[in-house]
Amino acid sequence: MPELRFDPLRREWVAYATERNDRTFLPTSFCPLCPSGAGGTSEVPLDTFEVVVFENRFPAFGPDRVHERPVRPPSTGCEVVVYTPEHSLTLAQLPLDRVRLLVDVWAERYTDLGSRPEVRYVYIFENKGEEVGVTLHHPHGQIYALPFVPPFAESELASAREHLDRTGRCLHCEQLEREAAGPRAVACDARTVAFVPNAARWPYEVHLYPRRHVASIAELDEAERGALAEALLSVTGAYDRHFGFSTPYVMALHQAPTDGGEWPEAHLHFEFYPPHRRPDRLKYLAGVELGAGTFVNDTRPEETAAHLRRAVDAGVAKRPVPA
Amino acid sequence: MKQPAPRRSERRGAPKGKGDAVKRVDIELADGRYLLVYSRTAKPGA
Repeated sequence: MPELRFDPLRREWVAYATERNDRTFLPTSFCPLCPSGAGGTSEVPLDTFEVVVFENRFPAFGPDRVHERPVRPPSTGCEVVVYTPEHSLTLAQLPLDRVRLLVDVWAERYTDLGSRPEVRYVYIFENKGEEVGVTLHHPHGQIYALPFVPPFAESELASAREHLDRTGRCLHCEQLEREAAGPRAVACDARTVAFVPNAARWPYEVHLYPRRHVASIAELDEAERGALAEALLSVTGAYDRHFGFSTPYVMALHQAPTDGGEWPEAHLHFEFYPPHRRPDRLKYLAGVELGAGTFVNDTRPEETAAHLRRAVDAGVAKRPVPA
Repeated sequence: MKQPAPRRSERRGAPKGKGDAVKRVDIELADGRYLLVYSRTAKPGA
């Protein structure tokens, strides 16, 4: 049974989920996320699907179980989002309409999970590649419905609230306006902005924002959802073109907590952390990052942004011209 | 081991605006977990 313990020194929660130690690990002959047909043995006993979401068999957080069955109604929990029935694809390779559906699914899960009384934060993310700890290669992401606001989100929100109180402006809005016109821009259009942040911790870290100030993915309108889907393909495709292989990354959505409070300082954005600093080298978290909490970056954000901009442009050049 | 036939229920939801609607089918798996199946269907008049 998952358990949370609080560390009073760092003031943060640590999750214990010992059953996860035995979870499926890089299977070679069977994929639990592929459709297995009616009565099949995978997690998806269907002939096919577009996008599916299911409760994680090995959750890091609730729901509680009684007699091996999850308690209903569920409280907190962990979900798996499977992007496609095609085992060998990646998010970067999905057709635009599938990514667009994925945006809708994320939005629906944010609202649905966030409406549970015990859920204070809906954390949507994707781990891609063995370099970031993936145990199943089938394209998928995860959602943790957390009973607390996680520390990174809490820290961002506190900074943004302080800025809003002091200036009357959104810290994120100011940042994305500045970055869209600057040397760290990666891909920008009328509705989205992607850039390597000024203080990037990872060499090819990218933050992707909707230009309009929205607190959560559920607030995006139809056109913004379409633009976001295109931007997601643009960023992930640029990684693959720049490095020359299907690039591992962690993709994290930061948005407003779902604790019932007002969060005018929250501004939805995606953060990408690819672990590569060059095609044949990884950035590891070591003594100074893990022990002191200070990142040392071997690259300059302006240079890595230029690399990614070229890769974005190369992708645009490859697109077919509409008739 | 084969799983028993899952239970299904259906509901439709969609973001505001024109375009396609998102359809969700809820399935209860053999061990009590839920499986949500999302697809896009054309909205009437879209």
